[in-house]
Amino acid sequence: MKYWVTCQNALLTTLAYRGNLLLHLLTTAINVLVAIFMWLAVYNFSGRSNIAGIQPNQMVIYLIVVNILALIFSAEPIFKFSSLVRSGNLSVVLIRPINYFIQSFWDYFGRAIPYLIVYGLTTGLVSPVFHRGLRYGLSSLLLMLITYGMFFLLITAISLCSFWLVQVWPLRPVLSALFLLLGGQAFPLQVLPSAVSWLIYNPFSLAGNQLTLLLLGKLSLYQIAIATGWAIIWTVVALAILKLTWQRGIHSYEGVGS
Amino acid sequence: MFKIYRVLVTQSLAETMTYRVTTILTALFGTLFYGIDLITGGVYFSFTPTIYGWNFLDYLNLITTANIISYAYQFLFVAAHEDLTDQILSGNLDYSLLRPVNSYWFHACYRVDFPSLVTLLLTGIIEGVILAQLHPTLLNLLLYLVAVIVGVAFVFALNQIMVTLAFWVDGLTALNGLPEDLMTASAQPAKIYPRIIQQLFLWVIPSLAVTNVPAQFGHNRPTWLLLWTILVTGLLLAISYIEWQRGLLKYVSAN
Repeated sequence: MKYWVTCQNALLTTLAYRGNLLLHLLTTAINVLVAIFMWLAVYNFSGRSNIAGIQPNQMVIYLIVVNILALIFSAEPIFKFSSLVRSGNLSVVLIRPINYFIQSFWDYFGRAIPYLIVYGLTTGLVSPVFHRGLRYGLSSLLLMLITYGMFFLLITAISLCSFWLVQVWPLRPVLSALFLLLGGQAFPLQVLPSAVSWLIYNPFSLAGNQLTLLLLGKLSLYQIAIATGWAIIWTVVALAILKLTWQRGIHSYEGVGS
Repeated sequence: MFKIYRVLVTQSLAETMTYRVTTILTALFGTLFYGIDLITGGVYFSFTPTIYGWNFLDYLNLITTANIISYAYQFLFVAAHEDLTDQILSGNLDYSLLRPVNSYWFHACYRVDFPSLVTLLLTGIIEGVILAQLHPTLLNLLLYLVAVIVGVAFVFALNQIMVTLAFWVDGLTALNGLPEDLMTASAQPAKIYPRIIQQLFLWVIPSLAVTNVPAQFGHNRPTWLLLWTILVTGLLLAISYIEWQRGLLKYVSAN
């Protein structure tokens, strides 16, 4: 219950600055429109009705959904944790009767609720995911949940570099660039040559490209299983990094300012 | 005024040398996003040789020119604009208002961002190579340069208008990112957009014209739209100047 309050607060924080939220959505919409018009022009001038198995109307949905996912899978926990370490306020968090990581997860979840609702509604109403039988629906749901947890853990693991780095802002453009290129936000990774097809199983692609293709009903049950397997592997990697670096980081933490 | 600007540039250089790692990282990230634009363009043109009459080289010319405009703005004004919002909100303009200088230009030119100079030079060299392949006439080359300078002034005016809104609006930080997003969206051939969007961003807020016009001069397709962008940019600069003076009347000192 105590974590639920964190979740509510995070949601309220997102909604409190409505002007900023709306402008943020507007700028995202502009970027999506640019990509949509450019891809429609590519379809038009190439004379193809299918690029990498994606039709023009599906490409429009792809670009909208992958950009919503980019909003859901934010890197915000990194900057929040960095601020706690630099100000020394981490000490206050540590003496509270809470688990910081669980609280951080609910904060992460709460901030993304408006976007998660959009993704959930699109999946439930537009996507064929839940009309292909119970097994397919449950497998899809499992992939979504594991990918969400995996990405949060990965971002949390990266955030621990704040114990050693004074400034972590350079990670913001790097992670944005990674999501653009490796997450399939700039273009679906399926358009790349088959020699680099293994790229679709990187964590950014699982969160962006694969979840979008899932919503479009483009993944077979076998592909869902493979993607889930990779999501589990990345989860284990993130957990291992977390376990290793937390102990070392907390020993080097000086609590300045607390 | 030139002496003051020289001092401000020297101070900026000293700051840049103090934060060397930040400088290197900023330059790297600028290059990174330009690289993503190139790769994305490469993906588009791997399916078709031309889009609305633009081939890959024309497209490269367009996005590189758009990046040059963006980096030139960042080099000359972005650091000053980032600083200005804080100065207005915290009521710290007094020191500059007391000085016998024009406060509008003093704050607009308060700092230059040297890391952006690295990416500006890099994209400038690449554009030089592209133009060498496109063979614009001397006149078109000169008009290309004029169009780029007008583009930088246009981006500056848009940002100046947004930043100065801090005199009236507090906390709407996303507003400051709007011109950047608009210019990113405008780094595409105008013809990909529906007619209504084209008309809006070629004539009313000519962000598409600002990027497309120099690119057209680059591949020897001169356009009278340049005169319109000069006119609108002049108008926006005048609006930003009036807005600044009105804003100063609204300003409350914290000293």
